[in-house]
Amino acid sequence: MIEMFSAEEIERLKEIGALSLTLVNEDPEITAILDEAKEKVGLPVALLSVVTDGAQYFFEKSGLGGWIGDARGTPVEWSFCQHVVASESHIEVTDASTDERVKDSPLVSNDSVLCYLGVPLRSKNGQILGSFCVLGTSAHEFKDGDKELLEALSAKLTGLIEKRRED
Amino acid sequence: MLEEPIGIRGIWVNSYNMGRPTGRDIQNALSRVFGEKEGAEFFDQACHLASIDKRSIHSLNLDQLLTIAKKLEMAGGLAAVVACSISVKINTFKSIEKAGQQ
Repeated sequence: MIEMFSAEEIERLKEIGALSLTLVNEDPEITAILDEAKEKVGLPVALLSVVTDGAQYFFEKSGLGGWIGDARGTPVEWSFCQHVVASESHIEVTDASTDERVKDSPLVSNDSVLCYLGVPLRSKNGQILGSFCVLGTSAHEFKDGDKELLEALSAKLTGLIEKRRED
Repeated sequence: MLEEPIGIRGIWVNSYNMGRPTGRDIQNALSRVFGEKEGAEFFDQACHLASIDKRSIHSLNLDQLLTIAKKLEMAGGLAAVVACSISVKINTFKSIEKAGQQ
């Protein structure tokens, strides 16, 4: 017997479907926002990561290469972004090798992701769809204002992705 | 963002704690979202559209699984979300396996 997800989680997943966030982004404004986040925070990678039922899917990515970029996501249990969705709050990881939430993830042990700052990506209906995040491969102390910058940009992203809503 | 592979394919894939995706994984994912009955109906329909015999669920290769996911994606909505998860997992496995072979 397979246990179903909760009604709340089903509603969150429906919202992802209604916004077609599992298709490839074609909006240059969204791409530009990721580039801006990466540059202002000073890290090599920015992602708009949609957390689905079993994966994190990179709806848009900037600076991410290698096999992860090719796969356009990872299983959800590896992701830092799942913690943003679960906690409904930002997640700051300055050294992933010592952070209990993520230190055992293959992204840390095998792919050297060591720092991460992610904020919730919300729909206009308040559902948390995933995370808008920046990350790098060295331990990193974030500056005052980095989280607020990402939150402001995430609000802009909400406006842009809402244009995709299926009526 | 990728360390050098260990070189032995099985060990390398295992270091990511990831098993080869299967048809049963797709069925289970659909059941978690739609319930077992409706999930099975989605799976059967996707197999039909992909011209894949659903009875061969235990012997489907990764490309056949991706084809089933593509057919689910065409249904849109929640089925497309599940299809995305399946595709990411399959592509992740293929990428790791490929990197381990290089």
